[in-house]
Amino acid sequence: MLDRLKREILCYLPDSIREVILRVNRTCLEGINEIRLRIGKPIFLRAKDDDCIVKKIDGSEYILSNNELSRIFEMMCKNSIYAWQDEIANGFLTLRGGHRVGISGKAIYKNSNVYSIRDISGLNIRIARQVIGAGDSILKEIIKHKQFVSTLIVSPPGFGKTTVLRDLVRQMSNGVGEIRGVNISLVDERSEVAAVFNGIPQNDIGIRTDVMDGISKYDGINMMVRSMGPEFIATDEIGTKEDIEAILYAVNSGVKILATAHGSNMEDLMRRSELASVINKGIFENIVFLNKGR
Amino acid sequence: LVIFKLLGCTLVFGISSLIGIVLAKVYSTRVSNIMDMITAFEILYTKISYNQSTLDEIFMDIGTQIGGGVGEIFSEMGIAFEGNMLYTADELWVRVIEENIKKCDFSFDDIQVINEFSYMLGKSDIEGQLRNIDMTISRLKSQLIRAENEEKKYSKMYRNVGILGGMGLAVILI
Repeated sequence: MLDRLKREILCYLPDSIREVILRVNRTCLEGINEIRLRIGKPIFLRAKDDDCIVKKIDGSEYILSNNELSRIFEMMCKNSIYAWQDEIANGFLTLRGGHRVGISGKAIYKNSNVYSIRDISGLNIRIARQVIGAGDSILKEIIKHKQFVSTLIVSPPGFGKTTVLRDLVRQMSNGVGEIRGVNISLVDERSEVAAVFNGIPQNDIGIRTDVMDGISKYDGINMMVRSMGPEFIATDEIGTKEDIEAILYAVNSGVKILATAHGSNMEDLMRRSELASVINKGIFENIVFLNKGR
Repeated sequence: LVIFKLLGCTLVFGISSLIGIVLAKVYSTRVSNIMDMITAFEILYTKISYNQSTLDEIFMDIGTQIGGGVGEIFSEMGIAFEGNMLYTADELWVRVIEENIKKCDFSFDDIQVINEFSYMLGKSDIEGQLRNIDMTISRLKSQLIRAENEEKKYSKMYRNVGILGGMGLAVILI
């Protein structure tokens, strides 16, 4: 983990910050989930069950300057902030390795849409970890008569829906045992599943998966169904009217669906009219609820 | 003795003319360098506007498209920007210009315009970048008019002074 951290994240930071971060205790670094950088504030590392404040050799907190944060952001954008304008407008960047950098600052509006973020005041680097085998326990549930069936994975935020979805996409795409792999079109609106960087998915999403990255689910699903001839559409966090419209279009075109949605239980899902309509239509043969221990 | 005198006169004439031609060429090279630099900025404008490629890729492309001294500067710029994790874009631009500017015949003012372009380089959104490039192109166009005037004025003069000076020295030597 430490090598990966150095190679994929710490390389963007100035020497002075890199040095103090590497002085933080090993357990925290090995289990690191986030690095939080805020102008004029101490640097925080968030690990699984820990929250470390980065300190200098003299024991005082390392306070991040405006110049340091701008420099880090510029390095993450390969000295070309304009080239990441769309991602920045969505509030995040994806780095090599699939790590996501959340951005806070002053939002600039143009034609009622966020056009860019200026005066960056904070970055939250979320360290990506692909959990191979995260979908193992669900896999047998989504196979019927030696075929994968449409499935909806449901859980509250933070329960690992995206991790499970990613692993299922990988396994279904590669094929499982006697079951041949299927062509999957992954519509990755927030670049969280495949974590595409420079056109290359940073996570293993299988050999038969095509990715449409950074696009709305509505547009992405419609485009993929028309152009890529998928057997399955995979997408994260469905719920809006447009999402459901696109899913119905895909289903009517003979495509199966693997999707996730926020929710705690069936009642919770049925309270949301859009999701209820798609469930009532029997589009998903399986609805899997994740709990904390899975 | 006459042969030596004739040889000496020819040599003096030749060297003097050559100096004149070389000095005159500086003016014409400066004009073509500024023209190349304007073309480079126009390509940069198009690539940022339509492709939204990163600076390292664009600089490499410009380097291969333009050729000559300006092309070499952009190729070096592309190499320096690729995988850079140390310098901000403005720091790197000024650094590469400083190291490679001798490949061209720019004046002090031209170099100042080229360096001042770096202040906003890579730091803003597309609109900001395009405005910065536009402004640099129009400043370079003003420099081009000055360079063309100077070429007209001094290029011929240096060439003539070289040739005539050489002839004069040769006559004195004889």
